[in-house]
Amino acid sequence: MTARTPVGVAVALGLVAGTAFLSRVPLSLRGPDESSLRLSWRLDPVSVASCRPRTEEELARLPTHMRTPTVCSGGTLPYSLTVAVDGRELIRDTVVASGARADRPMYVFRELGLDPGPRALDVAYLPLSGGGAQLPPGAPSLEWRGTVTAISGRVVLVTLDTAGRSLEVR
Amino acid sequence: MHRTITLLRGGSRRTLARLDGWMNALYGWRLNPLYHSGALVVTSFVVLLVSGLYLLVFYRIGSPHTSVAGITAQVWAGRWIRTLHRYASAVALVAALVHAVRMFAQGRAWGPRALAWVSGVALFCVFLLCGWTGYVMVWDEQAHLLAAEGARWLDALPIFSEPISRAFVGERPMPPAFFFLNLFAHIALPVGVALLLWIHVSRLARASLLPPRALLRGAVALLLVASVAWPIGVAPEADLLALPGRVPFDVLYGFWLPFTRPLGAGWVWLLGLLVVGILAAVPLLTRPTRRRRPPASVVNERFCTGCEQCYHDCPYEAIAMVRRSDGRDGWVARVDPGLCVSCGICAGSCAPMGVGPPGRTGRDQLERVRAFLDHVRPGADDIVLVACDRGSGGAAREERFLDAPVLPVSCSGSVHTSVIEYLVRAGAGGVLLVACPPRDCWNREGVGYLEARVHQGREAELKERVDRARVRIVYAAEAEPLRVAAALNGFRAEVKRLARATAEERIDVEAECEVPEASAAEVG
Ligand code: HEM
Ligand code: SF4
Ligand code: SF4
Repeated sequence: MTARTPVGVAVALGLVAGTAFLSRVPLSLRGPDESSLRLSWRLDPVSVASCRPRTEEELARLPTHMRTPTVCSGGTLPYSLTVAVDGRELIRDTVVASGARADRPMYVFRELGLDPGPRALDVAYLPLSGGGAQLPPGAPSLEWRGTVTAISGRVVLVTLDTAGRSLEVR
Repeated sequence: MHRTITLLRGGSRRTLARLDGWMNALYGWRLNPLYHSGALVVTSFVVLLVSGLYLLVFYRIGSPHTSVAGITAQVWAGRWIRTLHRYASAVALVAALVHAVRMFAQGRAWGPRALAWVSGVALFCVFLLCGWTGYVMVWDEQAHLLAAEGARWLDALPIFSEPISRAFVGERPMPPAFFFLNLFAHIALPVGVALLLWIHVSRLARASLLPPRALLRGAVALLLVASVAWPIGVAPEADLLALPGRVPFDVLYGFWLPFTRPLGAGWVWLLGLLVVGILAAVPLLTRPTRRRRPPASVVNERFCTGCEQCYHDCPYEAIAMVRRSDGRDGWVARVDPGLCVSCGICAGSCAPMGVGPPGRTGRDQLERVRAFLDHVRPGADDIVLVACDRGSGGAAREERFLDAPVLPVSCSGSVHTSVIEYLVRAGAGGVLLVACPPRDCWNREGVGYLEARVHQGREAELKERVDRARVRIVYAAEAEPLRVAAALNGFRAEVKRLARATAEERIDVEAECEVPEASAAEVG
């Protein structure tokens, strides 16, 4: 025990307290008046493939393990996503099915800043037919139009309803 | 790039030197926590393991936040153990940072030390990941932030068929599988830490994994006191449909969050890989050019008697004993140049002066001493400073320190005791060996060996015939010239009281180190 011991202990306590403080700094990672609009849903891909049986010659030309009876061309239907808030278009995008062969579900996941208060919201998620071609039956078209109230610090979530047929706001 | 690295190294070395000086003044060099930063990480890691096991008993993946709140409010000492776990993780990270900066500042990253450096970078990253998963376990607002950010990054990789971020949007409640995976990672990562630590010190002989007992007890006691005096609370549970407000945030483990949030996930990966890549490349970036790289130690088989002293002393396990190849019986030392860091400690170990980096063996040191004496000619009132050119209050940078002639050496642990004997027998009033504090030896163990060779008869010991009253060792960090000055002045006063030193006519300390005639003839 030397005359410096109390100073040493105090400094050590100070260092540990400082380090401890760094592990619990009260921090605000958003502005005081911030709200957000979140769009999130998942839809099965809509197939627009046209298939025909392979001819005998085609089958003979293929290696044994690749001799599938039908051959398809086309793929899945792309969708357009548009979002407007208070009449101002904020998103215009094309959504395609996921996966390397674009045959996996379509995912929409977007987040935008929103000023708090009542907002006119217009969300449309519509199949892109491409050159006016006939849309396959069962291709869903999703739209939501109305007024939402954005509250500071809260998220307005646009997602599918429990039946998975139309959009709803939570 | 090299210029930036040099500037960074210089800056961190000066900063550390100043901090070391203050800490030595407060705690003395034995307990200076900055010298034991690596060992303090290990201490904190052990505290983390023990406290973590206790918390694990009460943690529930089905109701993470409720169980953490329960631990805090209901479990015996739960709040304090939780706090201890938190604060120990903070101390571990800060200590790891200090340790890494010291290694960088001292240029201890390249060559055979590259393995320790690169595994150190990996250790640091694993610690960060471990902290991340630990915070997510609590499932409060901070956890939500960290988890959502991590998911955003992972979604940028072409791995998962469904974006993970969708788990955090609030469509559905969080699946328990997520908390199970997170808990699994939080337990598996410390196993990775242990494994990496083993690799980290695998090239070091006698790695000091724990600090001296007093420091260890003090560190644990301080953590306990801080945990009891300032326990952590429970922040509100994560609400997926809320934007996190003002949260108690760990800026040590989450320092990156404010920087990464505005960036696209691709950029985050790119910048993250760049930073880790640069850190991992430090061994290449700090490696001296081929011309300036100190050469590995070499054994002169002619002089080696096979005593094994260098083999025991080498702090980097670079020496093996092998069968002689010169026709004589027995063993001879062999240096593996791939493991040798050229610290020169073996030069001080070898009584017959048969080993050492070229130009720094015992024999080379005696050559230098002769040249030094021709030039300086110290008198009976003169104290000669034999000063390590790393720390030592910066004394080795001067030709004279407070009018005392200075003989600079590359590490005081490499000084052959014959050098000390030679200086005394040449008539110097005294020899003041100025070394870095032992725990700060840039070559890990050099200073301890110097002390043992001078005072405890460790091979190659300072011979009995040398008057110990004329030899003194002082430990001084780089920023402690006053300590050297005080030691020098005190020693001067003592030497004045001794009988006047006399110079011997013919000093031939090597003669007794020569190979006996017979064996020399055998060697041819
Ligand atoms: C994060 C956990 C870490 C722990 C627990 C740890 C622990 C240790 C310990 C106990 C030693 C042996 C010290 C001795 O006996 O002299 C050591 C050496 C070393 N550490 Fe670490 N360390 C960590 C991180 C790092 C980091 C982040 C770096 C650098 C990026 C680093 C670089 C080194 C180097 C280069 C050595 C070898 C020193 C030499 O060769 O003289 N370590 N470490
Ligand atoms: S200390 Fe010298 S004599 Fe002994 S084994 Fe090493 S090189 Fe040989
Ligand atoms: S110089 Fe000698 S003691 Fe140092 S690492 Fe090389 S062989 Fe080992």
